[in-house]
Formats: sequence, C-alpha cells, structure tokens
Amino acid sequence: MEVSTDTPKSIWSQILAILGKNPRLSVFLILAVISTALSKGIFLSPANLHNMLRQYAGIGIMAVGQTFAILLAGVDLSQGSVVALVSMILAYLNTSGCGIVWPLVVGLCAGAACGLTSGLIVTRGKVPPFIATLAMASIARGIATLITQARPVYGLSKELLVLGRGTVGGIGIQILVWVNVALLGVFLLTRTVYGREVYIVGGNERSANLSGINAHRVKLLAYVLSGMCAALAGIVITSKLDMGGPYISLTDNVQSVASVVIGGTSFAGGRGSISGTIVGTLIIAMMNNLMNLMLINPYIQQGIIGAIILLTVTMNQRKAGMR
Amino acid sequence: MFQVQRDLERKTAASRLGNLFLPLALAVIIAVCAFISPPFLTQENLKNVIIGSATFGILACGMTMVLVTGEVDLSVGSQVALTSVIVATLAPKSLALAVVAAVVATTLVGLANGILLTKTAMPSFVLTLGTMGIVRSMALVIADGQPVYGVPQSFTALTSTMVGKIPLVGVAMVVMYALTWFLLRYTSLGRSIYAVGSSSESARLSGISARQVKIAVYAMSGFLAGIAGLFYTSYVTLGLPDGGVDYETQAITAAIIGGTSFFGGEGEVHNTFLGLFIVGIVKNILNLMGVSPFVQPVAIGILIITAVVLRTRKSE
Repeated sequence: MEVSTDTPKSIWSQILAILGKNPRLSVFLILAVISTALSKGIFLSPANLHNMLRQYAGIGIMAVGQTFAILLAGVDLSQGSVVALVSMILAYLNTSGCGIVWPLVVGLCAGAACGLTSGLIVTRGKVPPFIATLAMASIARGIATLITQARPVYGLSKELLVLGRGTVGGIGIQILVWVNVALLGVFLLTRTVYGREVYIVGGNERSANLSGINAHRVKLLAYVLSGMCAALAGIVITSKLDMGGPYISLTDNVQSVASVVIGGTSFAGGRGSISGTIVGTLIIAMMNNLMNLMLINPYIQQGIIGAIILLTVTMNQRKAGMR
Repeated sequence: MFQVQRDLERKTAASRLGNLFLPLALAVIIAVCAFISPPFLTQENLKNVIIGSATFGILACGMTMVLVTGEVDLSVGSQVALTSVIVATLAPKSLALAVVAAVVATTLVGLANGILLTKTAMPSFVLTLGTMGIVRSMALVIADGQPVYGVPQSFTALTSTMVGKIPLVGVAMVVMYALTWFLLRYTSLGRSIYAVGSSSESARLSGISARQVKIAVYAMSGFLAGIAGLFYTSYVTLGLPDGGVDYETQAITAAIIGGTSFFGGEGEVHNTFLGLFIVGIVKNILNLMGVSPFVQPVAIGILIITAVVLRTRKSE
C-alpha cells in the first residue's frame, strides 16, 4: 500500500521537477493540452498536426541555421530575403526549361553565397551582424525583385512540386527535410569539433582566439549554414506555393529569430541548442494553429507571438539567474 | 567621473575630426546629382526629398538616442501604425483629442519598453521584437484590420502646408533634431546617455542611474514615433494598421550611415540628419535617372556596408 501511494507522488514530483527545469517544454505541453481541449480534440487529429508541420517546415528549417548565428552572438536578418531570392531563381530557371537539378543547385549556391557575403562583411569588414545582415536582406530582396521586375513566376514543373506537396510514407517531404536538417544541426553542434568551437567562440571570442580557434572561420561557416538553410526553406516554400515570389517570406525572418529565442538560445551567444529551437518553432506553430482552429481574430496573432517571446525569455532568464 | 569625462572628451574630439567626412560626402553627392540630373536642384524635387525622408527622419532622431545607450528599438514602425489608427479613429470626435491620445499612447509604449528592458534585463532586440508584434496587433484590432477613413481635410493638408519654401513636415523634423541635439549636448541627461552607452559600469560608479536614463530614452523614442506617426497619417490620409512596416530599419539605416555606433556610446544626431539625406538623395537620384526602383534596395544595402566598413577602418 505504501509503495503504491508513494510511487505516483514521486513520479509527479519528478515530472514537476523536469518541467521546472525546462520552461519552454512546459509552455509547449501546456499549449498542447489547451489546444486539444479548446479545439475539442481536432488539434490532435493527424490531419491537423500534419498540416501544421507542413506549414511551418520552412520556418523550422530557417530557424536551425539561425541558431548557429545566434549562438555566435550574431543574428541573420537576411534569411527571409534569401528565401525570396532562391524562390525567384528556382522558379525562373525551372520555367525557362533548365529542368530541376540545375535550379536546385543554383538556388542552394545562391543561398550559400549570400551567407558567405554576410559572413565576410561581419568578419573581415567588422560590421555588426545586425547591420551586415540587414544590408544583405536589402540587397537579396532587391535582386529577387530585379529578376522579373517584381512579377511572380507561375507554372513550375511537376517534379519540382513534389518537394512541397508530395509525401513519403504519408509524411510530407518538407517535414522530412526539416527533420533531416535538424538532425544534421544537432550532429554538427554536439558531435563535431566545429560544434564545440561554436559554443566556445559564442561564449567568449577572445579566449577562443587565444586558445587557437579561428573565430572568423567559425563565424563564416555559421553564416553560410544559415544562408543554406534559408535556401532549403526557399525551395520547399516555393514548391508548396507553386510559385516563385519576390515578396514572399516578409515576416518569416522574425518567426525564425523568435523560434530560436523562445527555444532558449541566449542572444549573448554561447548558450542554446537546436532541440530548443525546434520546440520554439513548434510553440509558434501551435499558437497560430490553435488560433486558426478557434477562429480567433487573426489580428492578435502577432501580438500573441510577441507576448510569448517576452514570457519565455523572461522565464529563461529567471532560470539562468537562479543557477 | 573624471574617467567618464575624459572618455567623452576623447570621443567627441575623435568624432569632430571624422565629422568633416559626412558633410563632404553629402556635398559631393549633391554636386554629382546636380550635374548628372538638372531637375534634381529644382524646388519641387527637393520638397519631395524632404517629405519622403521626414517620417523616417523623426524616427531616426529617437533611434539615435536609443542606439547611443547601446540598445535598439524595433517597435517604432508598429508605433507609427498605432498612431495613424488612433488619429483616424478619434478624429471625427475631436482632432485635438485624437492627436494628444496618439502621442500619449506611443509615449506610454516607449515607457513600457524602457521599464520592461530595465526590469527584466532582456536584450533590447528581443524585447522590442516582442513589443513590435504586440503594438502591431493593437493597431490591427483597433482598426479591425481595415484602413480607417475619417482623417479630416484640415489634418491631411498638414503635409502640403509650406512654411516659406520648406514643407511643414521638414520644419517639424528640423525642430525635433534641434531639440534632441540640444538635449544630448547641453543637458545632464544628454551626458548621462553617452556615459551609459560608453560604459554602464563607470556610469553607475559615477552615480548615473542607467535604468532611469534608458527608460527616459525609450519614452522619448516613443514620443518621437508618435510625432512621426502624425505626419505619416497626414501623408497617407488614412489610418493604416499595416502601415509603417520596416520603418525601424529605415531609421536605423539613417543613424548608422550617420556614424552612430551599434555598440553604444557614439553617435550624434546632426550626423544622423546628414545620413538621412544621403539615403534620401541616393534614392531620389536613382528615380530621376529612371533606374528600376528594384535597384534601390541593392544600392542602399551596399551604401550601408560601405559606410560602416569605412568608419571602422578610419577609427582603427
């Protein structure tokens, strides 16, 4: 008897202890329960969850790359514009009869080149990341509009649409891309020398340099990764929209940064994780999904996301302060 | 205190030396523009440049102060939208009430930004990213997502009113810059703003409350966003809940091209003024030359990078 009354108690206290240590996990779970209850179970239906994940795969992929930039005490504000640039390149080349391999390759290279340029401006030009990537955003958006004088490009080939609309084993391909990118990110950060260097440089660049780490190289690669993630996001978003658009992803950059920040990565650099970022993206996705299901006034969605950013970051800081 | 003062003197001496660069750059740009495009120097065109730059200009004035304290305010674009919605909603009842309510609202938003920033020690980028969304939602909810008609003719005439040969909005902008310039240079609050931005620690040791200074600066940034929003409303003649998007970026651009440091402690409002006109004139001349409007963002991006790289090179 004693055992049976004791065990549930300790399980509950264990669960409470785990939740207390992981504020964003608690927010995530609380939101999930509220969503399920308020939507009378529709939220948990496989179709709804699948749709939600497909819709947010692009932002999830961007956020993985963004995590690297923010871990290095930087930020990448050019991702949304890179998505539009890659979208236009992809659609333009695809509709001009270049098949699908070349447009994909050129799109990815363009994303990497944007990231490389941002990285070079940050490291060689010593321009603050905020300013450098803001300028890059302006340039990439400008080039995206220049390709067709701001006209969207329609009529993508069927093979290309598979990426954003097809499924493998019932799961949308862009979700699989997101999962793979995330796993790759986790692997890079936790299992490679580069990952350890990211945390060291992000924590204290001076001591990293003194211990023989080439901080410039570490940062450069981070911005290239961020640019390539934006390019991948651009590819799946274009394919899902069935259109190349110069003005797509105008607000996605904010959501990508918000995912990382809600996920507990410190803006001062050096602390954070990809798993946190994924939870961050899921929190944003769930919030928007719930509000759509509940037919809540869409105008307050931005405000709710803003409030969640403030709430979770304050909670993270309280937690860091208690240590 | 002496250390802070000496730091300040060294910084002002250094920036005085560098100060010649911006006026010269602007003069060269004006000369080149006048040479390659005769319509550039006409009164009508210069009036357009001033009206086109004024809203960003007033925002950039507040942004410079925020940047000097080492922070950033991303919520000002949303505040412009909030102002315009409040003015358009309340104007049918009483225009005076509408104007006062709008400016009070944005000042309160700024105050809230400052208090939250100092209470939570959250990075200002993250904090104002959050309030940017919240304020935008407020504007959208008040206006129910639709443009609000109801701005009276007398108010929309504000933009086209001329004071002598200068549009009223230009005069208002110059007044705001003059007041801010005076505040930064000749008041103890102004000196505290630089001290907090150069080093919070030494400012604290010399008895300056970084908390109060930052709250005051964010409140002023909110107030200026309200003033900018009034002229924005007069210009677009509507309450636009989705207006003012990206205006914070434009304000930051003007301040940064004017040599304001992103790390705090450095920056002067009259240089922001010059930066503002460099951007405005570059955009204008590209228009006059018939260059595709889509080239503008590319040109501005390159201009920002060049300006910052040149400045860092010089200070080394």
